[in-house]
Amino acid sequence: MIEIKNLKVSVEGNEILKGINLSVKAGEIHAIMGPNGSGKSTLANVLAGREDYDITEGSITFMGNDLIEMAPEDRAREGLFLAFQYPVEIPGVRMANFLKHAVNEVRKYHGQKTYDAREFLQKMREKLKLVEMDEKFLSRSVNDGFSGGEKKRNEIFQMAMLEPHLSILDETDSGLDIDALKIVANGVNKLRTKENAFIVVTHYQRLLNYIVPDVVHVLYQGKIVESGDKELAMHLEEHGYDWVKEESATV
Amino acid sequence: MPSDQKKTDEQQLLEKMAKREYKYGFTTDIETDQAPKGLNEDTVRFISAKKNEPEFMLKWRLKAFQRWSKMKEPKWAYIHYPPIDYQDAIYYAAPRKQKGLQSMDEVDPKLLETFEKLGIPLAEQKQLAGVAVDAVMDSVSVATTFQKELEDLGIIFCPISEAIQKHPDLIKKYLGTVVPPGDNYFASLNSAVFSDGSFAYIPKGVRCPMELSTYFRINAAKTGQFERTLIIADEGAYVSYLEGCTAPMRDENQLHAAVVELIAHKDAEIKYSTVQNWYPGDQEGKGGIYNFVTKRGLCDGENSKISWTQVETGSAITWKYPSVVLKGDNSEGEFYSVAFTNNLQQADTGTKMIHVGKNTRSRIVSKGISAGKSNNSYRGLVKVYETAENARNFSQCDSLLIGDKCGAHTFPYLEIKNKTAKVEHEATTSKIGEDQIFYLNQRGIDTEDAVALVVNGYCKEVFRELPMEFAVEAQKLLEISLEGSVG
Amino acid sequence: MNAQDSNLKDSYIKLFNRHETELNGSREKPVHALRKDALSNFKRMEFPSTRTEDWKYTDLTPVLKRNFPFQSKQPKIRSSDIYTYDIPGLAENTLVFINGIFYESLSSIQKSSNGIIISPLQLLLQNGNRFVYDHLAKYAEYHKEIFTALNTAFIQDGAFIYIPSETRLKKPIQILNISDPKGMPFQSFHRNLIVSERGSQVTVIERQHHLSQGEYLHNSVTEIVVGDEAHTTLITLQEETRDSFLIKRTQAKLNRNSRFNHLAVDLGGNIVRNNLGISLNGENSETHLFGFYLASGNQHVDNHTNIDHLQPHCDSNELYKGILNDRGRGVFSGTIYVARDAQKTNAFQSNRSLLLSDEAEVDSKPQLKIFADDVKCTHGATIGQIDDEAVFYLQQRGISKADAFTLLRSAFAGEIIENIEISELREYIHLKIKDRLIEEF
Repeated sequence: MIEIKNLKVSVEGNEILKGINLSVKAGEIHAIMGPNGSGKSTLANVLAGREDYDITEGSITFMGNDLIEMAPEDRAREGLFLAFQYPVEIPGVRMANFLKHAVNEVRKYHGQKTYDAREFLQKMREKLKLVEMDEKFLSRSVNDGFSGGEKKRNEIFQMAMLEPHLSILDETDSGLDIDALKIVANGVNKLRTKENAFIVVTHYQRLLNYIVPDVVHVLYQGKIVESGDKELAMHLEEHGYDWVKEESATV
Repeated sequence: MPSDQKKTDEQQLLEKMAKREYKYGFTTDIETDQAPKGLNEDTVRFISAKKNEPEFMLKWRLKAFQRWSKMKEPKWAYIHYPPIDYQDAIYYAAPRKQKGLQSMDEVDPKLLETFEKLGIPLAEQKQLAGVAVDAVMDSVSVATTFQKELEDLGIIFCPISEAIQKHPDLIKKYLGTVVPPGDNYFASLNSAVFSDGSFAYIPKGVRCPMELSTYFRINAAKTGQFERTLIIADEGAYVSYLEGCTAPMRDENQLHAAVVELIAHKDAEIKYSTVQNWYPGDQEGKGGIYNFVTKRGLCDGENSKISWTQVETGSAITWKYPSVVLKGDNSEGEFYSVAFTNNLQQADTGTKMIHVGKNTRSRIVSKGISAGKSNNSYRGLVKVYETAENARNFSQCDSLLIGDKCGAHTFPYLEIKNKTAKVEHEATTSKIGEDQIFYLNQRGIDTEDAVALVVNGYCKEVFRELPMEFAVEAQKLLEISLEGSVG
Repeated sequence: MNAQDSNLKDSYIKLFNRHETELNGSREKPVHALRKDALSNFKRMEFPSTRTEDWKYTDLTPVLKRNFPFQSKQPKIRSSDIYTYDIPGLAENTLVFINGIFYESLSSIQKSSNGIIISPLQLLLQNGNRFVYDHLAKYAEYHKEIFTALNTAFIQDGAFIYIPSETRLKKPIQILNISDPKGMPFQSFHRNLIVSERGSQVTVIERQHHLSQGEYLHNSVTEIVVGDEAHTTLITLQEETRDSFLIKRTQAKLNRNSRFNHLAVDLGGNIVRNNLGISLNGENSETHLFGFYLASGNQHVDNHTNIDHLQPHCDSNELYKGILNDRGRGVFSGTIYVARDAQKTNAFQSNRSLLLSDEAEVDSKPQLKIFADDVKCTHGATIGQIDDEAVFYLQQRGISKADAFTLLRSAFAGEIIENIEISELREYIHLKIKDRLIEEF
C-alpha cells in the first residue's frame, strides 16, 4: 500500500528524518513509537503533505503513485487519512456541511455519484454510533469548542466517513482518559478490514493494548532503529526509551 | 452591610485621603541661579551660554526655538487645562554650586540631604549597590555616582551637558535623530531650552553591569523642567535604565517637558523603566506638574530590542507615549504601563509601535486605574508598514474604575498595510471586583488593604518587568496613592 | 477651507435657493422651515478632510471634487426590469425607489386598517402627517454633521414606517433602492424614518442594487425610534456600482426595555461611509449590531459607529468584519460611550479583518469612553489571515486548496450572516457573498 524508501526530511536546514524505510501492506497495522522529538509527527505530516518540510532525499509510493508530487487534497482523495494530533478549530464551518463537501469531493475524484442530503445524513448517523457521538455534533462548527476527547473521536468519525485505504493516527491517544481511549480504539478496530491499513504513531504503549499492531517500529533521532512484533512495544513500556538510546549509542 | 453604614465607611476613607500627604512635597532652601522669566531667543542663548556650549548646540537650539514659535499646542488628547502662559515660567534654575567637584563629598550637603530624604543616597559611603545614579535638581545634574567604575568598561554615563562638552561627536551623531527638534510642540520646546539630563553610551558588546538611574527633582518655584535623555546601545550592548521623579507641593502648576531618545543598534537591548511620581496637585486639583513628555526609541539594527516600563502615579496631567520604531529586521518593542489617577488627575498615555522591518514584534500591556474624579486614557498606535513582513503585535489594555466619578477611556489606532501582519488588540473596562474584595474581607483583610491587594495583582504583569528595587517602590507608591480612594 | 470645498458649498446653497420652491413643493409646509434651518447649519459647517479626526482614514476629495448634479430625468422602469432582485415570499410590503424617487407602480403596499403606516415619506410631508413631524430630524443631528445637514435640507424621498403600539408585523417590510444612472452622474438624498411604538415589533430590510453602471452619490439618512418594549430589526444589503459614493447616517433611539438589531452588509460602492449611531436612552434596552463588508479593486469601506449608553442596565453587542483584497481599504471606528449614570452597562465590541493582498489596508479604531464604574466593557480588534492550519486540515479531508479558502472565508462572513433569522434573506446574502468571494478573492 505504501512504500517509503530512504526518506530524508529537513525543517529550516535541520535534518529531522534521516533515511526512513517503511513498507505497509493492506490489512496491516504498524505502530511507530519513539521518544519526543524523534521525528514521529514529522513523518505523519510529511505523508499527509504539509508544507514547511523539505524532502531532500528518498521516495514515497502510495497505491502506486508518487506521493511526494501530490497535493494534500489529492493524497486524501487517493485514500490517505491523517488523524491529527491537534485537530484545528474551524469556527463557522459546520460539521455536516464540511463533511458532505469532503466526502463528495472524494467520490467525484473516483467518478462516483455524489450523495444527496438524505443519503448523507443517514450515513453520518450510522457512523456516529461507531464513536458514540451525538447527532448534535453535526450542527456544531468543526472542532470548535470540542473537548480534547471529542476532537479525537471526531477524527475517527471522519475516518469512518471517508473510508480511507491508509489511516495515520498521530498520537491519537494523547490526552485521552481510558474510556475515551477505548471508544477510539473500538472505532478503529471496527473499521479495520483486509483492504485497509493503519499507521499508529504513539509515544506510549497503552493504545497498543487496544489496537494490536502487526509490526512495531522504534523511531529514534530520525531513524527506525528497531522493528519487531508487539513484544517490542511491551519491552519499551518496561524499559523506557533509555534502552533505545543506549543501544543506538553503542551502534 | 446596610448602605448608609457603607457610606460612612466611604466618607471616612475619603477624609483620610484628603489628609494624606504627598510624601515628597517638601522644598529645599538652597540658593539658585536662575534665568530671567520668559521665553525668547535670549533665554535660549542664556541657557546655552550658562552651559558653555559649543556653537553647534546653540544653533541647534535656536532652530528648534524658531520651529516651536510657529507651532500650536496639541489639542487632541483627552485632557483639559487652562492655557499655559509660556512667558510666565522660568526656563533655567540651578542650585548654585562650587566649580570643579573632585568627589561626591564636596557636593552641597543640603543637596545630598534632599536626595537622601527622597531615598536616593548619593554620598559615597551610602551609595546604592548596583545602581549608578545621576541626580538632577531643577535644570542641572548635581551628582553622578559610579562614574569611574563605568568608565573602566568604556560606558559613558554623565549629565548630557557634560556629554556635549566631552563627546560632541556622539551628540552630533545621535541627538535629535529619534525625536527631531520639530517633532511636536513640547519636543521642540524641550530642544530649545533643555538644560540637563542624562547621557549614556554603552559600547559594542558591553553588558552594563549595573542599573543606570536618573533621579529628577523639581525644587525651585515657577520653573519648568526640561531634561533631555539620550541613551545609545551599540551593537550587542545591553543596558537597563531607571528614572524616578518628584517635586515639591506648590499651588501653581509647573511644566515638565522632557525628551528621551533611545537608540539600539544590532543585537542591542535597552530596558527603560520609569516610576513617575511628580506632585499630582491637591484634591481640588490645585497645583501639580504638567507632564508633557516625548519618549521614543529606535530599534535601528537587526534583533535589537527596546522595552519601556512605566508606573505613572503622579502629575496633574500626563501626556506621554513612549514609542518604539521597529526599523531593524527581527527587532522587538515592548510597552508595559501602569497609570494611576486620583482626585482631579488626568492622564492620556500609551504608546506607538511602528513596524518597519521584517519579523518585527511588539507587545503592549497597559493597566489604567482611575479613582476619585480623575480621567485616565490609553492612547496607542500600532502601525504596520508595507515593508514589515510577518509583523506581530499583541495589545492588552485594561482599565479599572474605583468609584463612580472617574472616567476610563481607550483609544487604540491600528493601521495595517501588510497582509502577513497579525495584530490583536484587546481591552476591557470594569469595576474593581466586589466579590474579590468581599472574599478578602471575609478573610479578615480590611477593604483598603483588599483593594491594594487586588490592584497590585491587576498590575503584576507590569510590575514584574521592573527591576527588583523599583518594583517594590512602585508597589508601595501605588498603595499610598490608593489610600482612601476606596468607595 | 480650500477653494474647491467652498465652491462646492456655494453650489449647494445656490441649488437650494434655486429649488426652494420646487423642493418637494411649497414653502408653507413645516418641512420648509426644517430645510432652511438645516441649510443654515450647513452654511456654518465645513466639509471634512483627513485632518478631521473622524475622517482621518477616509479621504472624500474624490467625492467633493465631482459636484454631482441633481437627477433631472427619471428612467422608465418596469417591474420586469427589477425582477432579478425579487426574493419570493420575503416581504408583503415593498417600497421601490429608483435613483431616490418613489415608483408607485413597482411598489406593493398592503392596505392596513390597524394604524400601520407604510408610505413614501414625501407624500406625508405634503399631508403634514403628525407622526412624521413628531420625529423627523429629531435624532440624526443635522446641526453637527454636514452631510446630515445637506440631507435634511434636500430631503427627496424615502420610506416612512409607523407601527402602532402592541402591533407585531410578521413579515418584514422591504425598501428597495435601485440605482439606474445609465452613465449619467447624479446625487440623491434619501431619507427613511421608522417609528415603532410601545410593544411593537417590526423588521425592515433595505436593499440597494443597481441596473446600470455609473458614478453617483447617495447621501442617505435613516432615523429609527424604538418605543418602550418594542423590538425593531433593520437589515441592509448594499450592492451599488463600483463607481458610486455612499454616505449614510443611521441613527436609532432606544427607549425602555426596547431592542434594536442592525445588520449591514456592504458589497458595492467605491467610497462607502456608514455612520451608525445608537443611543440607549431607556433603562434595560439592548442593541445588537453586525456588519460585514468585502472590499476589492479600489473599494474603500468605512464603518463609523457610536454607541451611547445613557441609562443603566443596557447592553450593546457589536461585531464588524471585513475581507480585503487588491487595493481595498477597510476602516472601522467604533466608540462606546458610557455616561456617568449608565451603571450596570454591558458593552462588547469587536472588529475583525482579513487582509488578502499586499496592497490592501485596514485601519481600526475601537474606542471606549467610560464614565460609570459598575460596567463591563470589552473591545477587541484583530487583523490577520486565514489560518494555514485550517486550510491544511480541510485539504487533508479531500477539499481543494481553493475551495478550502472559499469555505473558510464564507465561514468568516457566516459569523455575521447567521444572525439573520429570515432564511430566504440569509441564503440570498450568503450566495451574494460567496459569488463575490469566488470571483474576486
